Amino acid sequence: MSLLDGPRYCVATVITCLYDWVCGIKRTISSGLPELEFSHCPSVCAMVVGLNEGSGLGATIESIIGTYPRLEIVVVDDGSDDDMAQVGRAYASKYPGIVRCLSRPWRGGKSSALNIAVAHTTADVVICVDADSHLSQDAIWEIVQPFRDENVGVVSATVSVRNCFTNFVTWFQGLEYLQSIFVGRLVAARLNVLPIASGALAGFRRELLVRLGGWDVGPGEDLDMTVRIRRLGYRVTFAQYAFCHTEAPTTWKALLKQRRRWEGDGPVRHFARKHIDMAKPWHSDFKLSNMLMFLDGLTFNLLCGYGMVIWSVMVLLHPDLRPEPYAWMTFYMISVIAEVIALGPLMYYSRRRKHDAIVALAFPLMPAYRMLLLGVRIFSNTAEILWRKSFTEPHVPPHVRAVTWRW
Amino acid sequence: MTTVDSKSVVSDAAQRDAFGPVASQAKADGASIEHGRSKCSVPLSVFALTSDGHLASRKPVAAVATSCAEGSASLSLGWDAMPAYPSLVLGVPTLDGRTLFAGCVLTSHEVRDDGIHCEINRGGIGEIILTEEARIPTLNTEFFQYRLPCDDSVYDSWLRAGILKRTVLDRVLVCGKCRSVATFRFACRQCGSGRVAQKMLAHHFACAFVAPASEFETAETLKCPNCRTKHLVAGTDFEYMPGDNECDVCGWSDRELEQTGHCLNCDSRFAAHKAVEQELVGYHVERLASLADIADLGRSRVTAAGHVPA
Ligand SMILES: [Zn+2]
Ligand SMILES: [Zn+2]
Ligand SMILES: [Zn+2]
Repeated sequence: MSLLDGPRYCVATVITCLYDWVCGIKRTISSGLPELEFSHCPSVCAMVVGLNEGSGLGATIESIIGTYPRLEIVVVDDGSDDDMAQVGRAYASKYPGIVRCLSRPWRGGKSSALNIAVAHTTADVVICVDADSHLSQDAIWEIVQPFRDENVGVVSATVSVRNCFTNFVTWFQGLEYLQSIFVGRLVAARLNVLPIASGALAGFRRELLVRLGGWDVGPGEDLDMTVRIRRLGYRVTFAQYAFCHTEAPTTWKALLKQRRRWEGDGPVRHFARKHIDMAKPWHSDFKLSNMLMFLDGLTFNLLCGYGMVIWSVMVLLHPDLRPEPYAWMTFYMISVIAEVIALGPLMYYSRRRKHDAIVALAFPLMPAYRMLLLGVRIFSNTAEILWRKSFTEPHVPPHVRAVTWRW
Repeated sequence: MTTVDSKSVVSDAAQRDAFGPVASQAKADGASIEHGRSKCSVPLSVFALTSDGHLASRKPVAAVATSCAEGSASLSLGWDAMPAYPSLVLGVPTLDGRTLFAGCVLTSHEVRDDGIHCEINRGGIGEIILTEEARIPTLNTEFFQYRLPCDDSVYDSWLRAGILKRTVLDRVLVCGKCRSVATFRFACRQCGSGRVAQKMLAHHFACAFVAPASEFETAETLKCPNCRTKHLVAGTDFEYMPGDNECDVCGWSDRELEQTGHCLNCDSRFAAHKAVEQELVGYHVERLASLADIADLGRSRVTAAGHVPA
């Protein structure tokens, strides 16, 4: 997600892609048949948890219902002021036995709302769905397949931008999501360093959620849950073709605000503080893959960011170190070339090549966009390191914030 | 009911139309008192009733009250107007065009030169049907149905004769099978039983853990089963939240209960929206308070006509 994101996965992505390509050819030669797609069908509970999501809830439920046979939907209204509970109840009476609506009288936070939903289901697999996103037709089928493997605890899904072509802001995000989620997470999952399953769409083995006592207080509860499941010794995989189409912020201001919220609670709060034990070789939870995941997260989020800051400061203080203008150009060109190389695997995996190709046309400006986000990242990480900013997020209601532990 | 509005004048012609030749022949000469009875000459109409309360004829016969007291009166009828049954209903017109009714029984009659002279006492089946208890449906405590004491045909015949007026008093929700009254309560969606108990959930703020409240209760303190924090204080550390409702009868469990009817008679259970809405029909009548008022009505008629009362 930073300027270095392009080169970062570039090599690994290309290798993964080539490997898949060769395997695909080999399979076609040996059997002549593509792999049987959906054979695993556990019971599933889709949990739609939200606050004041009355307007988008109906469309979200409609996009889920009827797409999977052993499905129940639990809607949790976290004390909304709008008509979310009424919309939820209307669907509950429209689809009795499938949709249930739980509403609490006042806000208690997303984590506890998710935990309420978990307490109300006995399904094998729990899928979290954001109330403002739409699932692709096969999304649930795609998510549950990896659970065939007993060692899989979490399945992450692809989040894509629904409003790519609204303006440049959403266009850049469209390509960014394709690169860092659709392709990036595939590679991370192959390398077994995938730390996150986005809250917008993710599948969890319910038994593990119960064993862990559910989600901890957020923000960043999705990252935290994934890391905790990894600590239990389970794997996190990626269902690349389970799509969740979500509405992206349409203004720079809203985008920066969103990223400031997302970035702060990631590496600092969860890797460097709360779950640091699992990266210590002498700790019982230690696993090499977990340490690599931490190093990956901390290196690219913190070290590279601060390296950039230190370098900029040095350049300002010592004019001798200032690179020639052509060096800037070279640097930018290398970044653009990395972006271009990364488009190859994207096109290889894409099932909507035409659409994705148009989105990919934003590539020449992507390094600049990533630079901007890197700035936000440095800002949020600094705020978290110095002031534990994520613990004052309005994302969590004040009465919960007041009593929860600070990591 | 006996108050007579002397300001409103009813024309003689209208009276003649309503009460026939006897009415027009009656001498509107006020009243005097003799043997405790007020002498009078007031035109009225008489309906005869069969023993089961039906009107013997839809058309009343015309009569003139010649004297009246609290519970008895004398009537003068035409030669051919002898009632076929002893139970009667009298209709006494008022000045403002209403008619007041009273139930009577015929105690004796005498054939005279000027017609038939009858003695009547207040009472009989007519008076019973005119009481409120007979006109307003009441809840039968054996079958839990709203019923009237007489057959519908009785009320129909009285209705057609213009004695009773039909009024919808209220509406009740009844069982679709047997029309008995049902109780309505929020009950199990599966079996309709009201034996449901709501389980309370507890939410520990600090760790976001949610579980049935009973799991937080230990012998000496409230303790979070997830993070093992002890001495939790409701409101600051944790909150209670409504959880699922559980049915003691069939074991069903869900958040939402359904409003369900339970028939008090046949015990059938049905969703509230499937209940039948029944109109509670009663009958309205304007009753004559006392037979003695007949004389007053006659007097006021004279006053209204411009004569000086005796
Ligand atoms: Zn039941
Ligand atoms: Zn706790
Ligand atoms: Zn019944």
